[in-house]
Amino acid sequence: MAERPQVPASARNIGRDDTGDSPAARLARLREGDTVTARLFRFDPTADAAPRFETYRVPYTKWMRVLEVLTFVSEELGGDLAHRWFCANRMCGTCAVRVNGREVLACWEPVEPDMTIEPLRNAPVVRDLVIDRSGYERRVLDLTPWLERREPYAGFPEPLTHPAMASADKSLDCISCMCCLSACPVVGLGDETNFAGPAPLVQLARVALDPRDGIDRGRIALERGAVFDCVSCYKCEEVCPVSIPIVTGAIEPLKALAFKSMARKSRHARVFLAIVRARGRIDPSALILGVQRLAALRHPFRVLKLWRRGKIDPLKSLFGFRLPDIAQIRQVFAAVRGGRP
Amino acid sequence: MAAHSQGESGVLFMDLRRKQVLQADIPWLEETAATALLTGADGAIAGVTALDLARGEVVAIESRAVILATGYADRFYPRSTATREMSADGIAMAWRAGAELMNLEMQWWHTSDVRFPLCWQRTQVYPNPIIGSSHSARLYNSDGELFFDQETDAPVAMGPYTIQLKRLAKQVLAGKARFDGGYYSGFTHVAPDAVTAYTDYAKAFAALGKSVAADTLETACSAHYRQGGIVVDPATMATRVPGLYVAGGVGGHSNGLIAPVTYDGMLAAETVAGDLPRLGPAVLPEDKAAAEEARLLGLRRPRSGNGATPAQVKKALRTLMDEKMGFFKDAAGMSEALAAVLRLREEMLPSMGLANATPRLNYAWLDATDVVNMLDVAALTIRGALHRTESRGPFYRTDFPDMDNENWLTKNILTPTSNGDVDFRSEPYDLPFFKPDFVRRPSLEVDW
Repeated sequence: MAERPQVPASARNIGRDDTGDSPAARLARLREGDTVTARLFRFDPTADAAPRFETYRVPYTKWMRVLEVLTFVSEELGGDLAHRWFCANRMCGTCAVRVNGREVLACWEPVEPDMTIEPLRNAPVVRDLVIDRSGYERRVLDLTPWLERREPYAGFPEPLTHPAMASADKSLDCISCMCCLSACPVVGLGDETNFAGPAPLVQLARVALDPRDGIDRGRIALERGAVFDCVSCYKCEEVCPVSIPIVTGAIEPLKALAFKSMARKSRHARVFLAIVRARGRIDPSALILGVQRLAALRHPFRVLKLWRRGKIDPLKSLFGFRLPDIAQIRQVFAAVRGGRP
Repeated sequence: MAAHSQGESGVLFMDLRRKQVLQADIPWLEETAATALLTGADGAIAGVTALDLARGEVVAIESRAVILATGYADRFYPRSTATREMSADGIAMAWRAGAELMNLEMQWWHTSDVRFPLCWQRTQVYPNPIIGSSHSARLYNSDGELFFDQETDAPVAMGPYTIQLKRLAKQVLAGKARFDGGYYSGFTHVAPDAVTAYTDYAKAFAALGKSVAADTLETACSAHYRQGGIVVDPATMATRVPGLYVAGGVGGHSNGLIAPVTYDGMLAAETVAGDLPRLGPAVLPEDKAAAEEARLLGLRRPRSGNGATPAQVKKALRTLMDEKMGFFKDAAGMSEALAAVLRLREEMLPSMGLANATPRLNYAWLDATDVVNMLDVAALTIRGALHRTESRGPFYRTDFPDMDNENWLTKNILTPTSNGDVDFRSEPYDLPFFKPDFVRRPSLEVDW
């Protein structure tokens, strides 16, 4: 039998072996008898003027997880730390926090010798490490991510094959932990965008990619999810504790459905295609200008920052560039049905 | 929805139900724990009080019908597969409202949850990815000897938990394992593809830097399920308290597996819908609601002097239950345990206090309400175990090691008396499909 990885590679684990951050390397850093130092975010918005950090030292136990540190602080050190958890088994998704700047499930993440533990971003803090999940719940509800059958349910057993469910399959792993929402830079823009965020779109993909579903999910993804506001930075995939291919397996398929359903309103996709057809490759500044039009100029400092960092090159866009083998690209466009904007 | 992997269906079921509730615009209280059933002068249900943890408020809800679905009491033990809130609340509330309880002593156990990390108490290396085949986990003792192989020991998985547990008990008696570790489980004999295709177990191995193809993991017992709880009519889900219904593992009729739980919920809802006209309008007993609010606010008192925290009381109870109410137990140990529980209640509860009396998201306050319920139900559980003078399934007494089908093929029912004590009675099971073919046999030699 051919060798294959025991657990599929995911964005979460890319590079961890190279940087000495593999699970085995993590576990080798500490031994029983060692001490774990945890700086914990403390804040009660009803009583405190500002957040603060408190430092605790916790004895390490074999293969210790972050949740055990939080529980030790609450129960053994006489603390009054507010932190959510229910299952301690990577199923309920309630214990998500940020450890040293990275979103993790406390129950699943091995401890580090020194940790700064904070609540997730992009949601109000209720107390200490507990965030208000109601905003996320509302966005999910707005996307109506429950099955609306194309045909009436014919009874049990329902024919359902692996190939038919392959597209929806990975999104079924979502445990609504909100790690991806915390990591998403677009969600972090707040009211500047109506982007629903990765997790609600994963919830939508569950039904949108289910062959039994019968309503126009592309329209929902576009009109209520603002799916094209996703910048495909893959931050969500990097932090997903259950390794869902959020961009490639949920958001990109939703973008395709949106384009198929509402090509005229899918401006991002139309501009993207037009640029590639005209120039042979994507041009970020032309894309931003084409999608946002004059609104792109509302933030001149952001534009300058992007320019300085080489993310965009307006001069190149202005004077145009074109790959030398553009004819081949256009042949591809001609061959792909539906490729024309 | 369709779960794509063993052990994942519950998450999808709960997610779907949650969305259905949201879709139907049914009012609900998030992160709110029921604390008491309120009864009217006629003894029927008139409402329920609850602690809204997020807001730090006590609420009273007027109702003529309440469906309890609070799950098990597995958090009695230091190791448990239960979510953190399964602390006997439903059993305690129903008992105080006048319901009967049964078979509380029938605690089940997972035998193959990983020992480390300590918080992974329900992360399984579980012997049935492919039931009845060679593609299932095997258990090995401290000498590396195989002592459980589902393919041969429990080929159709009719009672895998019990059989595993009894095989483990023999290893413990032989000094080659402990209930809290010292034995191992793994899939080293199985093609890794089969494990990853049908289960999520490989992810746990990977997270520990281990190989599912080459390594075994040290495992330990966790409290998992209870074949006991509130006495309920399984045809209606009604209890003997008018207006009180039960669904799922908090009932004494079912072990709480997902299929019967789903059925219970539907049946309970249908029964309530039919009963509501007869039950009539509710009138909230304001005095009882006020008394319960005062009790709850009293539990939020700051800690002073040498008073224990709720977490310390819980820990003391769990240690006690582990030492005296684990698999091996006898009358002497259980009697000591009962006395110790009563001491905890009398000596620790009065001075118990919180490190911080803030009302919002104060989990210690929730722990304080749990502690009261856990102590009460632990005492009832120990009494039930003392009353059952035999061994059966996952229940084992070293002083009564035989399964006794002459006297104990029965429900062990506890009835509250008017003076706050317990009456015991037995009620034979109706057995239309299966009857044991022996009267008495050493329980460890019976494969169920």
